[in-house]
Amino acid sequence: MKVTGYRVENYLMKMDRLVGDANLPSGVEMLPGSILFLETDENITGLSLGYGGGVEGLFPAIEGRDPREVVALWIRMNDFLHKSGNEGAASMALSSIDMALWDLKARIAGEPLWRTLGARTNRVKAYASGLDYCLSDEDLFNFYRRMAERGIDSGKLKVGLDLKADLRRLGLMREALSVASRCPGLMIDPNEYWSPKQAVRYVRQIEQHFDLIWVEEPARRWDYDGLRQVSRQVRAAVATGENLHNLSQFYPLLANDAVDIINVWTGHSGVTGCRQVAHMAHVHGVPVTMMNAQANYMAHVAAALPNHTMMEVVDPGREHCLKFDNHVEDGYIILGESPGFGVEVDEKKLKALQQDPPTGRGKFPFPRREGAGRYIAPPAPGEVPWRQGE
Amino acid sequence: MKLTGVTVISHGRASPAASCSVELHTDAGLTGIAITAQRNRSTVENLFKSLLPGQDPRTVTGLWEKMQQVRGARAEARAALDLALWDLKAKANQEPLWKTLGGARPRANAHAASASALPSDRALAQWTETMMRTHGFRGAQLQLTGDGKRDTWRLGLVREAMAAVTRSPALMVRMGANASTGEVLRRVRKLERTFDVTWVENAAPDREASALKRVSDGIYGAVCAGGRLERLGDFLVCLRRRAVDVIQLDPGRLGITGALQVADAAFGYELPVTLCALPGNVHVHAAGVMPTLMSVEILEPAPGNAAFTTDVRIEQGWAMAGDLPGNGIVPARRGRR
Repeated sequence: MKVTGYRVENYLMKMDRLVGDANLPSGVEMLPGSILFLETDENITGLSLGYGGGVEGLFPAIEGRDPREVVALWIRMNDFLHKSGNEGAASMALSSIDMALWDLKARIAGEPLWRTLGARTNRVKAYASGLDYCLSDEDLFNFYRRMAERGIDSGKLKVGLDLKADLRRLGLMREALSVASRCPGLMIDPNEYWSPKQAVRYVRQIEQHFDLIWVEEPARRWDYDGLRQVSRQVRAAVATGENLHNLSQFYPLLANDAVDIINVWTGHSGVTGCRQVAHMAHVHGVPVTMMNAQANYMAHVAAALPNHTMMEVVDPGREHCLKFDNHVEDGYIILGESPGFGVEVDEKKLKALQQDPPTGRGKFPFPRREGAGRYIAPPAPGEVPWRQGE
Repeated sequence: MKLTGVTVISHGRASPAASCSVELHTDAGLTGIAITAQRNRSTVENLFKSLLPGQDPRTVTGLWEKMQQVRGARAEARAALDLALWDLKAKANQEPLWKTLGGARPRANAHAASASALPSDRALAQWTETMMRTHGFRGAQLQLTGDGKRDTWRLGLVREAMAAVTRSPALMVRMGANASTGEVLRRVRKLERTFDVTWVENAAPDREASALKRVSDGIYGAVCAGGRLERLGDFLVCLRRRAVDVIQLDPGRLGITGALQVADAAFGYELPVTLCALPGNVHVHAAGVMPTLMSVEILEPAPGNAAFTTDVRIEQGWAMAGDLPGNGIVPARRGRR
């Protein structure tokens, strides 16, 4: 079997709700989407979701090759990027190709990817994540309650700009989740808005009221001294990693004991790179947690990682042109038996989205907020719904 | 597909090593095979009985984690089961193991080593003749005798044999047992006046990171260690302190699954890895998916013995896995399947 060609479909989607964090508390609802189809000489097509740009630069590295040789092809693509590095847009292209190759490998074997990767179970523990700085108190509560009704007992709240409001919102999240557990798991995520010492002060005050499992990105992604300092000075674990792109970027974090939990995702150079990061973390005794993904497709990878804890479920409604074979039940993502990632594209709906692009508020990705790492610029009245009535 | 049973078959006199075949049976009629030492027999059987009946062999990564949780189980037994499970996973896909792992056909860089110390000059000459002149190895590992003059002469012989095949030979040395760190440093430094030494094995026990680091800092060549380690965490101190320059992985202790995990961690530190030889050289299958693979060890270039054959060949000093489904091990008594 050989890879013969590819097709990239870009489109714009309007999510079913706004998402936002400390960098853009007012939130966005527009998300660019991209689907990469990898074609073979045997009429099997593999696909990956997310980042289809720049594929043309790397495609020659895999053209005519057997997709089942995906790890060797990963090494080959990584070698292709030797001079400029496996970074930025090139890294995203590598990720999307690698994922489509894994999809193909599993489809050729006629099995779901979790089994191709050797996972023993099709169940992945889930936690809820609202990307919720833009939600009113009511919407926030309803989101986590809806998740808790599906058995999810842990939640991750966006924080960072207003301690008093964050404390109130944490209480709401805990209360909403309490129908799933007497002791819900609580995490917070300021998305690098703080300096390390701001993080220590802020988290310490939150910890006077709440017991936190982890605080995510409390300092810049590369700042291993800062991350370690936060880790030593707060009770919560420090989690980071979602903005790194390849294994080499984790070396300083792990070698310097700077991180307690690693957030892994597709952007770590695909399934292969994601697994490398998890394996390196595993050797260091550091657990990993999978970031959210459209249609939860990365749960296939999470299921096979030896040190995986729980995966982020956001569910903002971004699967309008997708059909997928998994669902959340009893607090777990349950993966089905459909081959590959279990994701299929509704080409008709995709075409409709392309021909008549939806319009809405903001657009992913958004910039860093004023004051980040220096001082706090709290949300202005009207910027977030929970500041309207104050 | 479900596992139904295990049979362990002694090779008796058919194999020069005290080895046996571990055969895993399934309800799909496929059999997964691995070769291990006779002494692992009962642990293999017990571990199988306690964990594996009814399990799907394709879920091998998950089963490996399950086997990790059994306390006191001998690492070699766990690894043998892992190897046989991977064989089944590849056979279920009707493809060679190297492809199931995600590799392209491995043409792995290989080096020759000897299971015995080759104490006599005749034994050394014979080994050199076979490995270098017949099989074309461009890298060789020799155990030192401790007699400096004699070691210089012996290494010269090996280097000369390799010079006939390559302009850049790799010369590795293995220290004898119980040499102190100071002695290791003295001996290797002395050799390095005459030879360009690629790496030194057994410079200190695998867990003694301080001693390994001291040797690494004191010689030009690399320190190669790790082959005796059985758990992932055992590698951590060597990685973090950069005490070892070449990470040696024994899939006979770590299984394929564990070896892949440590190889990824080594990649994170940009450290080269080398694989210890397995019977039938089936370790070569894993070479193609290790991003920093430096060389695979070959003790026995022949594809098997009277007890079994494999389709891993040595071609001009490179190790090549073949196209038989699975790891390519075929027991002699039943012939090719």
